[in-house]
This record gives sequence, C-alpha cells and structure tokens, in this order.
Amino acid sequence: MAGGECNQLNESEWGSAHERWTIVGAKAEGNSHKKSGLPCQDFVGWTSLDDGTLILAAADGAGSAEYSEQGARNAVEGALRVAPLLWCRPQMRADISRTTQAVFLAARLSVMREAVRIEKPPRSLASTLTVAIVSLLETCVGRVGDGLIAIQDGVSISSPMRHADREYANEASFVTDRHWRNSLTLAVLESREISGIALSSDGLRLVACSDVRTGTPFEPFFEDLFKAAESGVSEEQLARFLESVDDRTGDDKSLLVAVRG
Amino acid sequence: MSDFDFAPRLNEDNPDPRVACILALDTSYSMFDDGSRRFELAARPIDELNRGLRKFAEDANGDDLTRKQAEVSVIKFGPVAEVVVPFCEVREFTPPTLVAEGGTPLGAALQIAMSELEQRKQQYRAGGIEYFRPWLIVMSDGTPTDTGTFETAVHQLNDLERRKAVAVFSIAIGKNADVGTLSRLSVDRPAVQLNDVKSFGDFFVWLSRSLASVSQSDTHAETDGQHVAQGTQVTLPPIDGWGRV
Repeated sequence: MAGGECNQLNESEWGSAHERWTIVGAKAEGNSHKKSGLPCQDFVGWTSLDDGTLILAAADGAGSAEYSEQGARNAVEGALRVAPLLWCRPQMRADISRTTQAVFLAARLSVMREAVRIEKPPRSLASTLTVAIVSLLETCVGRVGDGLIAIQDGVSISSPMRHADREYANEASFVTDRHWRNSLTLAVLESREISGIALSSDGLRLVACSDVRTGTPFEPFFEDLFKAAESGVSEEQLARFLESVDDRTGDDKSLLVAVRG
Repeated sequence: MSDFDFAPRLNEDNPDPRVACILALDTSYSMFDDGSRRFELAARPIDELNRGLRKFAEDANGDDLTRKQAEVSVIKFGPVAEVVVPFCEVREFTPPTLVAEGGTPLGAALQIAMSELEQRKQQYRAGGIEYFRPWLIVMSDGTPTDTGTFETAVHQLNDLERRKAVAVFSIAIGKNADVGTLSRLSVDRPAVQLNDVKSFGDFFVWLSRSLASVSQSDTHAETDGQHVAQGTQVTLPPIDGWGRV
C-alpha cells in the first residue's frame, strides 16, 4: 500500500479521520452461466487507507467474452492496487474526480496487460467497472457499463447517475472499449451526507431497480440491505441470498455494501 | 443477524425482458411436392416443418428463462404472405399446422416481418419493457417469385441489419433452394442449408437453445470497427447437427 509520504499526513488536515465503515461483499454464479459451463464473471473488492478513505470496486465480465472472469478480476484488482498510490499525492486528493478517472485508466491497463499475458484479444476480457472513492470530505463514484449504484443519505436512497439511453437490454460499455472514456460517468458527492453505498452488477436489476432503464434503485431492497449490513450480515448470508434469489435474468449476481459505523 | 437468512424485499413489478423471434416460413407448393417424387408421405418438407414447430414449442417451454423471455410470431409465404401467429409469449404459443400451396412471395413476407418487428419494439418501449435484438428466421426451399418486391425488401432488411436493428438467419431447404439469393438476406452470415428433410426438428431445438443464450450475449454500445465485424456477439451452439454452410 502507501509509501512514506502517506504516513506523514498531517493529522489536523483530516481531523480525526478514522471513519468506521462496515463493508461486506459477495457474488454468485448465474443460472445461465452454470448451464453453459461459464464461470462466474462478476468480481467485487475493496480497500481502506490509513486516512480512512474507502475504495470500493465492482466489475461484471461480458457474458460473450471467454476470459471476462479474468477481465473483471483484473479491473477490480488494478483499481484497488493503484488508487492508494494515487491518493498519496496531495494534488490527487485535491481533485477526486481526476483521481477516479486515473483509477479507471489503471484498471483498463491492468486488463490489457492480462490480455497480453494470456495472448488473447482484449475484447475477450471485456468487463464493466464501477468504483467509489469515499474520502472524509468528498465521495466520487465512477462507472463504465451498466452496474447498479445505490447511495443512502440517511433519509432516502438514490443513484447519483442514470444509465445512458440504449436500445437493447444487453448493450453495455466495457473498460476494454477503445472509446471507454466517452462511456465513463462520474459523480462527486459530499461524504458527510452518505450513510451507505451499495454496488451491484446488473444481474439483480429486475428485483433491485424500480426502473431498469435508468437504473433507479428499488428503495425497499436497499433499505433492507443497508440495515442488514449495519446488523453485521456475513458474506455467507449474502452469498446464500444471491444463490437462491429468483433474479429472472440468469446473470451472475454480486453485491458490495458499505455502511457507516 | 447471524441465525436468519438475509431476505430483502424485492421488486415484483418489473416485466421480463423479451427477445422477439419471427419465423418466416415458405409454404409454397414445392414444400408439399417438389416434383422429384422422392418423398414418402411422412417425409414431406411441410410435414417435417409442422413437426419441427411443435418441437420448438415443447423445447422452448422446457427452459425457465426462454419460457418467459422469448416471443414468437409465424409468417407464412405461399400462396400469399400473411401472419399466421401474431406475437405471443412462447408459453402461449400454439404451433400452427401449415399447408403448402402456391408460389413464393418472400419479398412480401419480409416486408410484413419488418413492419411487425418495428411495431413490437414500439410496444415494448411504450410498456417500459426491456428487449434484446430481435431475430428473423427465414426458411425457404426455392426462390422468391415476387422479384420486384423482393429487391426492395432485401435492400431495406440489409440496412436494418447493418444498423443492428435485427439479426437475420436464412435457412435453405432442399436441393432446389436458391442458396445464393437466400444468402442475400443477411449481411452478417450466409444461408445455412438444412442437412435433410429430417433436420427440421434439430433446427428448431437449436433455435430454442440459441434463444435461451441471448441474455448472456452482449450488444456493443459503440460502433467500434473491429466489433461491428464480429457480428452478433451471441455465442451460438454449433449448427452441424442440422445444417451446413
């Protein structure tokens, strides 16, 4: 993780920066994937930094891309590996939006490097990616693709962005696309208003969205999810839910939840 | 939390996403008798086609997702082109019994098909229903007899396919099929020849399985040169059980 420079962060710069978050994540293979012998192509991960900054990442490998399981894994691991290094630099901390963009570039490069390593075309590792950087003051959420995002501000639950208009249910953008930058959507929010963040792949969209076209969260689902996270729901319990829910898409499913306290 | 299952409230109101599939089927006289006198009564193409449609209904209803997501419409051409089964969910699909007579107005059938597809998409959009790129399957054992209409229709259909509005699959039946002309129907793939008259059943099972895998496929949101060249990006099961290119 961070080098010497980060350890010398001025305490007063951050106040008592150690926000406590409870984070839990899980994934389950979709029924369609099981039938056709594909592995689970979703991946989630997170890391927290010395100053209390939290980084969440969730990726969904393209169903038709043979190695997208590796694509999703490398996208998430690339994002989580580089974000702390970037966050060390004051000029990056001062521009969370720019940092998030740089994290996406790093994630993409990680996938491209893996493609070279296994000698396959990048398109065969295609994956979506959603990243949230939650620092003391500001939170930035970035997304390439059709992942779901729900943010609880203590009162209500909403998504900070809507899906781009697209005709087909399976149209998505991927970090491996040549024009990925055009597909990257960013939103910056004030962290103090956020009591919970959840990222999910689109496998749950029919049961967890009130409007699948825009990606608007179905509030009761996420209320229950945030409450469960606060009460200490385990990865196993989340995984059991994902395995058994009738999602009606047959897609892989994944959830990553972070709540304060 | 430790003893209880996590059981959040779920939205029950979202409709299932749909994949619309039009079957445009040649019912010209040659599907009953192509003049070769080779056919035993039980193995006429029209009979095998009817049998195949029943197999399709059965197989598609056997898959949980396909039952809910696939929608089918049947258009026949010969003697005229007309809709015999308007769009319905696969679970409500009653296979028609087709009779062979007349010529081959394939051009008119294509026009009806394109119009039906556009109408269906509008209905989906109006109803807030998600949908995948629709399929048009054309099966013919001869050559179109409405040549003028056919030319206009093929031109339009090619345009639609280039814009990713539809995926076209063209199937040639028997040795008299005009494979060259049938291959013009799709810009993404040539016509596939049915191995023999017994292969209808296998074809329709393949179709049912292919529809089942649509939700795992991806349609690229951008026009990136290398991806456009890749075609549908649906990983389809192999065809060699029933056909050859």
